[in-house]
Amino acid sequence: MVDNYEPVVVAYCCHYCAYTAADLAGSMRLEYAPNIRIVKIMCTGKVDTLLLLRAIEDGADAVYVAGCEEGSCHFLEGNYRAKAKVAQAKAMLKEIGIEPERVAMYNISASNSVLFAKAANEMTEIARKVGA
Amino acid sequence: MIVGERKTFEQIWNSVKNLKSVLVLGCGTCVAVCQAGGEKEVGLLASELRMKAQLEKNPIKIGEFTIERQCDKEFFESIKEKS
Repeated sequence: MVDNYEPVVVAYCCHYCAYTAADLAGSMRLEYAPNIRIVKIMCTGKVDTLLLLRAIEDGADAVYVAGCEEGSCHFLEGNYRAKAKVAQAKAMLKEIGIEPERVAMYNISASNSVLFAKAANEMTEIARKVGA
Repeated sequence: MIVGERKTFEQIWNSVKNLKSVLVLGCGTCVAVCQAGGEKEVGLLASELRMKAQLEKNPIKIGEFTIERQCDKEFFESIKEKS
């Protein structure tokens, strides 16, 4: 691993909660890792396991799904479906010998910009630890 | 109507790792309903195989395609058109 290795982390953020939290993090001038590439989706229920695997395959060092808190999904159960997809992706990565911690799920409410920043930093650290 | 179950990844990898190119071919009917061999599962398996090949520095080429039904010969024409 070279010293100047900077991981690339993809974040699928739902419009109603996590993306709003990201916006608020920006408004509050919270600092978080610049390694995050945010992909805005209407609901994390849209995330398919293939999206997560393809992100890793195409070069991302880690990928996480950030949705509404459980019980508060704007579309009722999208975040539950995303949770199952993330679990499936972890199992598949483990099967092929890739660290399953590269994929994760976070539940972030729209006002919880601090948690958004924490998640971004956490996933970047995990990606840095496991390497390219 | 048949019921399908996907083999474990290890079994699949061991059977293809020494080949030069592999086509992951799915069927959009019975095995798609069983969530074992439909278009989504083809995408997932192909992605897994490509990542495994990259990890092991294996130059194997992985292609993916799904036909409507595998039980009738007419549906295989679409593979010929694609190639």
